[in-house]
Amino acid sequence: MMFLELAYRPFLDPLNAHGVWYLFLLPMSLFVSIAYKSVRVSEMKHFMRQVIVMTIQIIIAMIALGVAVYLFVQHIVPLIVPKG
Amino acid sequence: MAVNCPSSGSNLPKGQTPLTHETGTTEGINPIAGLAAIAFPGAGHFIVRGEKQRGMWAAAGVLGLFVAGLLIGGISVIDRRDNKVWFIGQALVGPLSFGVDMIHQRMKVQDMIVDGTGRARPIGPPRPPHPDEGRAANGTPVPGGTPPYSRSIGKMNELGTLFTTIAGMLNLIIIVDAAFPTRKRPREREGAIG
Repeated sequence: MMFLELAYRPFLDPLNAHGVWYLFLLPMSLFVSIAYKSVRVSEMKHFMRQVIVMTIQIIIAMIALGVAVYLFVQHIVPLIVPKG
Repeated sequence: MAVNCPSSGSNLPKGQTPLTHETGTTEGINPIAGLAAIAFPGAGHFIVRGEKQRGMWAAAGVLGLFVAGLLIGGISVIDRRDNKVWFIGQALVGPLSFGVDMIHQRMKVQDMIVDGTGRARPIGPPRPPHPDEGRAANGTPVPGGTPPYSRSIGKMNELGTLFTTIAGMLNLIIIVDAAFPTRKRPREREGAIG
C-alpha cells in the first residue's frame, strides 16, 4: 500500500486521524460559534464571551445527544424489538 | 413624553429616538453588501457596511471551517461532479469553493483508449487517481507514479465534507445579514448580549 508510505501533503492528502475523529468536534464548534456570533451579537465587546459560551453549549449538547442515542440503541430498542 | 420602540414595543429611555432603517450605516437593506459577501465571506460587513471587526470575525469563522475541512479531508471533499448534493452547500462559500473544485477537477486523471485508427479517445469521465498511479501532462494515468492527490475515505472524508458544507451554510447567514440586517443596536436591547 504505497499511499500509506507517502508523507502528508496539506490540502492534497487526507489526515490520518481516523482514531480520533471525535476531537474535530472542538474546532468545528469553535468556528461555527465564531461565524454565527459574528452576525448575532449586537456589541462586539461581548463577542469572545458569547463564542466561548456557544462553543461549550454545542460540545455539551453533542455529548448529551451521543449519550441519549447510546441509551436508546443499547437499552430501549432491545425492549421494543422482540428477540429473534 | 415616552417613545415606544418600534420592534419590541417597550419604552425607550428619555431622549432616545426609535431606530429606523434610515439611521446609521449598519442598518437598512443593502444589496451591494450582499453581493460583496457572496464574492468573499465577510466582505459585505468589512468593506461595504464598514463593520470591520464583524466582517473579520465572520470571515475567520467561515474560512476557518472551509480551510480546516480541506486540511482534514484534502481537496477531494470539494467535487461538484461526484458529490453534487454536498457541493450545493459548499458553493455557498462563494467563488472560493468553485476555484477549489476547478483545481480538483484538473487534478483528476482521464483513462484513454487507442481506437482502430490510432487515435486516443477518452473512456468515461475523469476520475481520481489510484494510490499507485501518477498523472501525465495530458491527464492520463501513469502506473507507478506519485498521485497528484489522494482521495479521502471514511471519517476523514465525512468530516472534511461536513466542515466545508457547514462553512457554506454559515456564509449564507452572513450574506443575508449583510444584505438585510435585523440586528438591533445595543441601546434598543438594554442588557441583551446575544
